[in-house]
Formats: sequence, structure tokens, C-alpha cells
Amino acid sequence: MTDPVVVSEDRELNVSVSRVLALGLSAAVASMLLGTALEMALGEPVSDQAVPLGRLAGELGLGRPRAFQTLGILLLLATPFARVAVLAAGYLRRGERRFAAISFLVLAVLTFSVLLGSRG
Amino acid sequence: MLRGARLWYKRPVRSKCPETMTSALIHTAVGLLGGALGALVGLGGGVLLVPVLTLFAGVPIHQAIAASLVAVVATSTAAAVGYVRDERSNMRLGMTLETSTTVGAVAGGLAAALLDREALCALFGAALLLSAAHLLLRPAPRRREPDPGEALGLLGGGYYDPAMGRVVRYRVRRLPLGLAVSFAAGGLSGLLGIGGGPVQVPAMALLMGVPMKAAAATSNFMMGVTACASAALYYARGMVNPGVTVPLVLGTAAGAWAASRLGRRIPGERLSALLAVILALLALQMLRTAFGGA
Repeated sequence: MTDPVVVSEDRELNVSVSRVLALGLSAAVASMLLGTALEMALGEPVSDQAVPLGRLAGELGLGRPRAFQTLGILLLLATPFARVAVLAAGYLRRGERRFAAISFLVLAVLTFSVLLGSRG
Repeated sequence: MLRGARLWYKRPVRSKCPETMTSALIHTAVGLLGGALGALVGLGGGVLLVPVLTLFAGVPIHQAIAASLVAVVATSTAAAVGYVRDERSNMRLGMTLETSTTVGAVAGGLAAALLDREALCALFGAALLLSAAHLLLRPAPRRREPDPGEALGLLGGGYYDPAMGRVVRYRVRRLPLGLAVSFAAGGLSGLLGIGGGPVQVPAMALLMGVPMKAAAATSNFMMGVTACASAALYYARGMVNPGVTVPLVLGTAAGAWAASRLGRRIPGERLSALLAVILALLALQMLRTAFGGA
């Protein structure tokens, strides 16, 4: 049973963010479990590294366990990105420019970290 | 693009299935323990995960930090689903502080790549000692609740507290100081993989006038984005090992879920004292490793 909540103008946005988080987490866990089940079923030697982004689609097509596990990890890491994007769009739609700008700034830092890592 | 990650991926490190299964079980158990204890005392699992993986499961410290960061994203996301839906997390305050935690997390992630095992163990030992002290001392925050009708400002908020049976309202104070502490929390998260909670929650409660429950829920909401900022760096550099990360994430999520069910039956103060002792012992072991004793 959930506790009574403070009814506010943010209710709709909160529900949207909560749904995005739940969806991202469920998809990530499902992919990780599938990869783990495949790993146990196939029993083949596996690499100790995650599959790089550039090879992921190909290895998923081949049904490699590590590819599904990597996809799960990436879906998990994409969930906070999606949450920030939903908030940015929500604040923008409601005309709250200050918080929309703050959300876009956080999104920019997250994108910068991915690009920075990609360049080694 | 991804040159570093590809080079890492080509390394011929292979493992056989029975060893993989044993490791997976050990990592799941570590995740269960870290997730449950972390959730029960509100520290987040990362504080326990990295030292246990490094000291007892033989996982290289950079891989342990990367795995812990991904686990922090999982537990933060799982907890935030409920906190956000029930409006306990202050999303405006969280987003504002995230501008500084994410920059800190990127800086911490970059710094971690430059530090060797001994330096990271020394830093971790110090962070564990501080966490243990925080658990034992926990100074009670003093704050004045705004009068009914008083404006809460842009970042203030309110939530329903079932224990008090009423809505608790609050204003946010000392934002610049909060942003500075958030940068440090993000830096620690990226550097050591522990999530920013152990720094962020007391800072919000003691310095910014946010009630403890709202501070914990808002910190949880923020932790996923903060950890994600540096986890992306670790992934791109090939330091995320799914063989460690996946069982750890699944174990941590299950542990945190179980703790949320059991939490009401376990006396919190005794548990905090027990965890403080465990953290202090782990700190000593990490410091021994750092200074050549192990």
C-alpha cells in the first residue's frame, strides 16, 4: 500500500518520470537475465569485457550472452538519461524555462561524459 | 571512436564456465549483502561493494568501482520509482544539485583512471572511516518549519510523512554551499564508485534545511544520474566487466528489495552500529593494502 501523497501540480510529471524509471529498469534486468540464462545454457567461455557499442548489434544478432548482458547494462545507464530528458521536456512544456535549462545542462554533462570516454 | 574500449576488449582474458558460475554466485551474494545493508541504513550499497569485491573476491579495483557504479544506478532507479511517484523526492532541488554532482562525477571518473590501486585503496580507506563515523555519530539536524502560508521558494517543497500523520513543508537554504558539497559528492562517486549519498544526505539535512526523509529520497533520485555520468566513462574505457557487474546488479537490486520488506522489523540503531564496525574493519584492511601491508 502506498502512503498518501502530497497532491501538487507536479503530479503528472512525477508519474511520467516514475514510469520511465520503471520501464528502463525492467528492460535492463530482463536483458541481463536473458544473457545470464544464455551463458548458463551454452556454457561457452566468455570474455571478461563488455561488448563495445560498435559491435553490439552484430553480437546480439549472433545470440552472444555477453551482448545481452552488455545491452542490459547500457539500458540501465540510459535510464537516467531518459529521466532527465523527460523532465526537460516536461518543464519546457509547462513554460518553466529555468528548470528546463537546468535539465538540458545536466543532459549536456551526461552526453559530454559519454563522448569523453569514447575518445579514450 | 571507442578505440580504448576496443583495445581493452581484445585482451585475451577468458574464463571457463564452472569458474564463471562460482564467481557469479559470489558476486550475487556480495550484491545481496551490500544492497540489503546499504538500503537498511541509508548509505547505498557502494560503500560495501568495492572493498568486499577488491579484498575478498579478487576483482581489480577499477573493475570493482565500475561494477559498483552500475549497481548504484540500479538501486537508485529502483528506489526512485516509488519516491518520485509518491512525491517524496524534490525533483527541482535534485536537478539543480545534479548540475554540480555530474560535473564532479566526470572529474572523479577521469581522476580514477590516473590513480593506481594503492592510491585508490588509501582514498577508499579514508572514505570508509568517515562513513563509519557518520553512522555512529549522526548529528540531529535542527531546522525551522515554515509557517502555514509562508512561501517555500523555487526549490522548497513538501511531502506527507505517515509517521507524523501530516504534510511536512520546508524551504531550501544555502544553495551555493549545497552546490559545492554536491560537486565533492559527485567527485567521490566517480572516483570510488560509492554513490554520493553518504555525503549528499547529511549535507542536505544539516546544511540546507531539508528534512531527513526528503533528503534521503532526493539523494536517491540524484544518485542514478550522478553514477551514470562516470559509469559511462568506465564503460567506454572497457572497465565494465559483465561477469562481475551483472550478478552484482541483480544481487544488489534483490537485496535492496528484501531490505525494504524487512526494514521495519530490524532495529535500525543496532544495525547502524554493526555496519559502522564492519566499515571500520574494511577501512583498516584497505589502508593496509594501500600502504603495503597486504
